[in-house]
Amino acid sequence: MSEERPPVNQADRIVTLQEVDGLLAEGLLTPDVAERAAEIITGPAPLNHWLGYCRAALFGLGALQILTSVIFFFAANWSLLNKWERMVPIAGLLICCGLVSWLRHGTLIGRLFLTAAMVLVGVFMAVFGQIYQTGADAWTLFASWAALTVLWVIISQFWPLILLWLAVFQVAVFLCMEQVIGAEPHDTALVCALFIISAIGLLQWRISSVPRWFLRVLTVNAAMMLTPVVIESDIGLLLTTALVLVVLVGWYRRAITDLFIPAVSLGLGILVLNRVLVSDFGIRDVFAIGLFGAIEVALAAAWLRRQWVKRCAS
Amino acid sequence: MKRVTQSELLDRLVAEGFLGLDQVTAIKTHFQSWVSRHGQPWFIKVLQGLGGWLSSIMLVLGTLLLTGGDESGALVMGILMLLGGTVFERSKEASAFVSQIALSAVLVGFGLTIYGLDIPSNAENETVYLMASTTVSVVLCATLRGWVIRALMAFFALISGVFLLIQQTQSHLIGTLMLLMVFGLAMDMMLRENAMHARLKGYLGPLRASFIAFALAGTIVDTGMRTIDTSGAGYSAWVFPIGLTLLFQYVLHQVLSALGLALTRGRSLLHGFSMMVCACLAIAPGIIASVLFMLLATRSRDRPTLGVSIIALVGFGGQFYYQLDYTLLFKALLLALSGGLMLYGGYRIQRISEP
Repeated sequence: MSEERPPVNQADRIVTLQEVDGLLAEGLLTPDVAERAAEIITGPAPLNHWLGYCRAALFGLGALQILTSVIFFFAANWSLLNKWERMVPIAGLLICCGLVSWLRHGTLIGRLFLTAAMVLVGVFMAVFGQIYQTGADAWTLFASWAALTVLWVIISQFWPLILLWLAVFQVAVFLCMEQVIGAEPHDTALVCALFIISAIGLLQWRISSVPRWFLRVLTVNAAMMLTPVVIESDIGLLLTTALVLVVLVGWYRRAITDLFIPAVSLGLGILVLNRVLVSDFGIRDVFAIGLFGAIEVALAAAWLRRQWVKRCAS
Repeated sequence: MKRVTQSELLDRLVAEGFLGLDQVTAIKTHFQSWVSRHGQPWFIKVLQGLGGWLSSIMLVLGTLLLTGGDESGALVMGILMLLGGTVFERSKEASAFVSQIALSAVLVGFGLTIYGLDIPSNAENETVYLMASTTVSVVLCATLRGWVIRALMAFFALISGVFLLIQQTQSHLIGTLMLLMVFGLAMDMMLRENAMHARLKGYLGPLRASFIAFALAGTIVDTGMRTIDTSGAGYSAWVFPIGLTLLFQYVLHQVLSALGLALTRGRSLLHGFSMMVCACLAIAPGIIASVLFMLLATRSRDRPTLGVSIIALVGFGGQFYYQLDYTLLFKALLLALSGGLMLYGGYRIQRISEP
């Protein structure tokens, strides 16, 4: 698991029609070869790819809609159901999903049913808590949900399920800090952001099979959590500045291989600088802030583009 | 769907006898130099577009504060910034830094010029504003070279143009039909990418992005209107989902034809099956629109559009819960029906793909 990650080729070597035009203009391709190249680039994927894609999309969307319809159905008939009628169908569905995922483990269907089972655990706990009200805070529901399903998530190695679990976990942290400690929303956002950043670091360092889209979603998640922190808290401002620097050093040291992460960090860096400008100058100097903002974005874009070209060439 | 890489393309051309091995090295060198001159990943474009837009809003506000809201001053400054920005932006030697500053200058100039026209705001004069905005956006989209600025200008032109038509005709039906037309144009650009590229060249990417953004933004407006005006009397409630269903059928037909599948009973069943799913989701056209773009993005291997479509699907799906003009039980029934149809479709495909 700790093997060195191959560098991500930022260009991905994806060929575009503009590049084919360039080859034609340079005389490196004849018109008929360029036409064939354009056909290859814009042609549909092979039939077997389509079948795989459609199967995954239909199973995924279908399962999602059935699950949602179950939730809607219970919400619609809530007042008419007694406690057993509320709990038994959900428990039955949960067991069915668990059984199917066990019987078809390792396949896409098995993983989708495991995801459905994870959602149903939360639904079951919510229904149970609603019937037998203990007066406990809402955070215990999400914390128990996350705790009960953590093993499934680890075993499944199914990235969409891991993402769902992370969302549940963050809600638990958010509610816990708010309801138990009485923390401000930006403080809880900071804790969630630090957790996600640690997760990104750990995944980059230890697990080579983590898909790029997953890391990118986590990066956007962390950035969204840090945005209110930067605006409202001075400690958050300092921490975010430090984080941006760490990411840039990581990029230069090649510990970070996807330019998307420095790009999001620079976006946060621009937010930090503008927050400082607004605090010092005040909103009345909106022209100066706008001007600085334009220059900052231009510098960031120029630097990112240069880095991208460099990594493509190496 | 996996996109075609440079090495895959070269391998296929060599295998098909279109290229010799000696030509491949020169082409690879050209690919490298093209990346250094023109290449740019999507997230840098997003950063440029968002950053340029936000800083321009602040600059426009700041300029108006500095000039005390003087319209003639704003007009002069706006035209000067438009011209200056355009000259710099079109310069072949412009670095990424200068191009981004030029982008901001053009956007600020655009805002100041429209403000500086100093037209008394009443319903009749809105037409002049909209016409001016449409004309300036179209001219700038045609004149400027950058991907981001072209896309932004095409988006502005679409918004002003469609509002102009709605304002002139006082008909929401026209707005809905225009929105469906934008969907159709975006579809055409994705389905016939090769032919459209030959015609539009460097305009294709920005136009396609702006059309997709406009189509999804228009769908959000339509969804909002459904939430506010539950009777659907103020607009043509059923035109949009029916139009989207027909467009979906057309895209499906094109995709199946491109895959070389003959017009058999199975293919007709597929069309009927997708029509039934669309009918189930007719009260939430945003979901049909998202799935339509998912299909199109998969067809043209366009990952950014696929990502946007998935986000849109989640958003429209969440909004479906809050459509209070239908009971939860009815919505549960529709979801169960369409979900069941999708699972059955997946099962049939599984049987085909697993001999």
